[in-house]
Amino acid sequence: MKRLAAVAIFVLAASCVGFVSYGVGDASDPGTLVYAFREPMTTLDPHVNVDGTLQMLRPCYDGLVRYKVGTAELEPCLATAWEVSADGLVYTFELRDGVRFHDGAVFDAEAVRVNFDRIITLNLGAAYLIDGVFDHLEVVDEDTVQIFVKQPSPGFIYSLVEIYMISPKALAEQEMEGDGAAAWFHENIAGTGPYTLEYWNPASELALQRFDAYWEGWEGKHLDYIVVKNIAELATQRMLLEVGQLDLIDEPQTEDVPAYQANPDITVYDGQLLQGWYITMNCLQGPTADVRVRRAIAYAFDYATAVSQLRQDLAVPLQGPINASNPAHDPCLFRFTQDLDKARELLAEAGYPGGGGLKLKIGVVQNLTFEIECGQLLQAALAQLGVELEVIQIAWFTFLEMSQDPQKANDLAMVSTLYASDPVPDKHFELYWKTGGTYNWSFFSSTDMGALLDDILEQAAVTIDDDSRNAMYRAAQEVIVAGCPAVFTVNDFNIRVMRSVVKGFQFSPTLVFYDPFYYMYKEMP
Amino acid sequence: MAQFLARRILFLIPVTIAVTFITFVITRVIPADPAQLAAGLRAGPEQVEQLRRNMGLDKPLYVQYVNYLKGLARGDFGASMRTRQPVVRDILRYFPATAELALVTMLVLVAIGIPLGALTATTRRSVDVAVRSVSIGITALPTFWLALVFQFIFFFKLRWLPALGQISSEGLLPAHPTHFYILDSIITGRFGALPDVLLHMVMPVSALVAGRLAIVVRMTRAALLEELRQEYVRTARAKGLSEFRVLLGHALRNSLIPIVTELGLHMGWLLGGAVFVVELIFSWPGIGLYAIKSIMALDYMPIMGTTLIMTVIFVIINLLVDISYTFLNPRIRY
Amino acid sequence: MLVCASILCCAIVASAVLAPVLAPYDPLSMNFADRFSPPNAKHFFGTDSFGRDLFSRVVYGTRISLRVGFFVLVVAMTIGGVIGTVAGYYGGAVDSILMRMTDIFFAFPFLILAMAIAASLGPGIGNAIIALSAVWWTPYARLFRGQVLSVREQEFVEAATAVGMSDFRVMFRHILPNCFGPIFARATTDIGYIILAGATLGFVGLGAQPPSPEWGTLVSEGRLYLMTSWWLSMFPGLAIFLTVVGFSLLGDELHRRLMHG
Repeated sequence: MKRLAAVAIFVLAASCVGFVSYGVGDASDPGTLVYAFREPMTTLDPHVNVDGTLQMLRPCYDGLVRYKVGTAELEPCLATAWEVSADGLVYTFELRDGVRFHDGAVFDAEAVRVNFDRIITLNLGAAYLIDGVFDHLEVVDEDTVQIFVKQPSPGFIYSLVEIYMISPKALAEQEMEGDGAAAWFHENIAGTGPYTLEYWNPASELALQRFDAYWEGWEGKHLDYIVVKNIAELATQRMLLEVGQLDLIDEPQTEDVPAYQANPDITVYDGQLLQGWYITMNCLQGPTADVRVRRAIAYAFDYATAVSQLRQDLAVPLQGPINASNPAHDPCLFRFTQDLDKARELLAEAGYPGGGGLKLKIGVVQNLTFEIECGQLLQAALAQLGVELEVIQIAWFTFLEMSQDPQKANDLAMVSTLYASDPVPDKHFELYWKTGGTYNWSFFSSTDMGALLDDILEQAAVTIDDDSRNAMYRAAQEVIVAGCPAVFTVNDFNIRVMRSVVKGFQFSPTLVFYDPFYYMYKEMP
Repeated sequence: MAQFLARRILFLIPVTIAVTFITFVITRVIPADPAQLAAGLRAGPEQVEQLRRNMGLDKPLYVQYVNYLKGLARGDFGASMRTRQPVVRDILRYFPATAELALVTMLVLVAIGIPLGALTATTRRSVDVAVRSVSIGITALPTFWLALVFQFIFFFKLRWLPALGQISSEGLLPAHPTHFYILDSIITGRFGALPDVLLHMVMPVSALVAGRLAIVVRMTRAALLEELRQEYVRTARAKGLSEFRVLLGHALRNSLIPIVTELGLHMGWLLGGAVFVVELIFSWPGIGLYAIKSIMALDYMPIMGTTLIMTVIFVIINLLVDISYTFLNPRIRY
Repeated sequence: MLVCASILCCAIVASAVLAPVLAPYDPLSMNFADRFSPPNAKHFFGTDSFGRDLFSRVVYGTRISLRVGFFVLVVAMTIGGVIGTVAGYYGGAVDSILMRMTDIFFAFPFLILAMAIAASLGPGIGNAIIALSAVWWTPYARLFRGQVLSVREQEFVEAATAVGMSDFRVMFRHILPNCFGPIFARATTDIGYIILAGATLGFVGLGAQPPSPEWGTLVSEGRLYLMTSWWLSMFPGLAIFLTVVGFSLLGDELHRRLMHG
């Protein structure tokens, strides 16, 4: 018995010797930022990573250009200057001197060439950004490269923001059986960015530490460590944030915002209308193929409630297919408001007086609260018109496949937008509204209006002059609204929630997740 | 004995095939395109086609199944599209956390459940009924709900226990020779991590123990009552042995067989589903969390892989239980 | 004990049957003015994010839960019963094969199989019932087989066979009725655990779909608002608890009485 006690006391004493802190602290440490993510990091390879976790790699890697913090303008990053040839087919970049990678390798033109080669060869992740546009790259001299493109593309230079440079030394040394060092880069980091890898436990945590030899230097206030924890439950994230064990969460719910605003230790940042949500209607098959039915549904939706109740007024009604903050947005577009009488009239005209036993289905992403709530809102509204709407929750990947197949697609589908904030929204239109677009769930392009739209978009994609291009996009938006293939519901404010001690945060008007970690720091009282 | 063992091990083969077949059918019924998933949301159609060919998805179903089986024989369980890792790697990575949780839960269950069961078998009716009712009450609480309540009260309101995970910061325990956090903290000398790790286990283990307590109590009670009715017990009592000695020395030991069988069932219950929701709520990086996330994302390979592994483990556990019979009761021979 | 348990179970069944009478509001009607109101005189259990009355939703949820419990039990007992009885009666090769099959299904991790089935067939109460039934029949097969084995040897069975009754008649008219006692008790306890399993599926998002007020789904919806609106997860959880307790206690008591009675 005595021996047992002795052992117990020993263990207890030993553990009191302290939580040995291995540099990385927790949220109470002013030099450490603790961030929560709902999904685990898939890979640390910036040429392969395509999902939301890519944002955690941004502090570690640089591209040739980047967005100026808080703006949609490009500024030099690893390239100090660039120019485009008159025919728009050749881009010449002058590279920055004296930049080194985390492992000491030198950054030069050869490094850029090696990177582009790798991206094209792997043909994963980042490759889609330059697919179809990038032709080849030539090294002019140590500090200059030329990139040749297949056709003029106004969006190309912007896509280079997300083409990150990895260390050619690591690539050469860690290459195994021609995999392009994919195995090594999967779990290691070798870039030019301000932060590098401390440790990575793929199941739970990623920690980044300051890279002292960062080319931009460390003047001013900066973080020493960034810790990303994988926390599956939103409710848990929220608890930890309130308690101070987390500094920052990625996607707060709008319902929680009033509670956050009431907490003096938490700051809510909102601004920039970044994410749009709309309900596509099947223009090819079923009752919604009739434009009158579509217009009736557009008149039925309760926009005001969606904005004020579901989004706590942290949104505005969505006007047309792209966000209001986009330079190409047309502020004069027609916008539907709820008008049940008009809706009834239209239904009657279309052959469904009093609802006429119309039954429709709407697909929403499983467990995505806002989409479910929107669906239920529309369900209630349509019920008043005598139309039955069934809300079906579908797992994301199934949803994606179903919605692209006109045979299997539901009558309505809820969708949220990507790229609608890009300064050049060509990718957005291509994905959502053009024939063959992955998110062209309304099959709008199959209608006459849709075919017209395709022409406009094709032209706009190769127009370099900003003004003429934006005029074309405005025409495109008019066509879309006139054809009524979707119910444009809300345009969300981008909301970020963090502890008040975190300073230096600014929104990016173009990328939803583009936190300027380098400029952030914590000011503890 | 050897023959018995051989037969039972051979049994694994039809089980494996049945499991793979059933899960293969289930996951192929899912109308999702794994090539699209793997390529990512923004990939172009050529990228997707390329991936489809690489993944062998353009071949007919039975060929895919045969290829899958061949892969299994090589130890290749395919790759997860969500984590972009080979499933084997994922399972090896996530399994120790679940194993640790399950083992600690079993220990606590045995330490609490068996004495309680023995108690109910030997005391007055009123105490018996009271204890049993309470344990039924505890087990009737939905495990997922109990986990939420624990987290809300003990973390959020009282701050006594940590909200989630296995450890406050991975930096506390850099090396993982055994991947069992409790053992690792002792072996690598990072004693500072040990109380942290133990505190993190309190809520998940409690939620799991609560979910099974009544069953352990009931089974122990039944087994013990059965033993106590035997002739030899009367003899022992007649000889003048104290009730305690009768109980501990004779009855309990002999009733170990049914109790040990049940341990196998408890493990099955734990691994078969109970751990899943607890791991989800506490962000415990185990197989359960991995499986739930894979199911929600309709990620074929991990679903098949984890189902297969869990089933095989369960069968092996039962086999071990059967073998342990021979040691516990010399009269049983195969 | 028996009395308490019976009363509880009757209350649960009654609330399912009398739901329209008991529930003060329509479980589906939304009222945004009253969102997230805590329990008060107007709304006994408070309201949810749409302003729907939680008490009414929980009461209607009883219907869904009992439906799931009942159907799964019936299907599981039928499948298990047939397989177990046939195995026990015929013995030999038939027994071996059927029992091996049962072992294989028994070895399946229950929830993962149920989840995989529900995920592939699509979420929804019907598919949840199918998924649960696919897993729940195995213990009944064993139970029935065990009972049949012990009854089979008895004299009246020999007599029936001697008289020339077909196997089928012997099985279903003579053997089965004598097995029922312990199985019935087990079944009663099981209803509670089936409902619990169904709620777990609902919690994970694979059970009833919105706006259906299934208890597990309700707990899951409430989980997001746990810190400010604790009632949303609390009361449905309590409902699950009371149901499982009621049926477990009842089954336990029945078991005790039938075994020693």
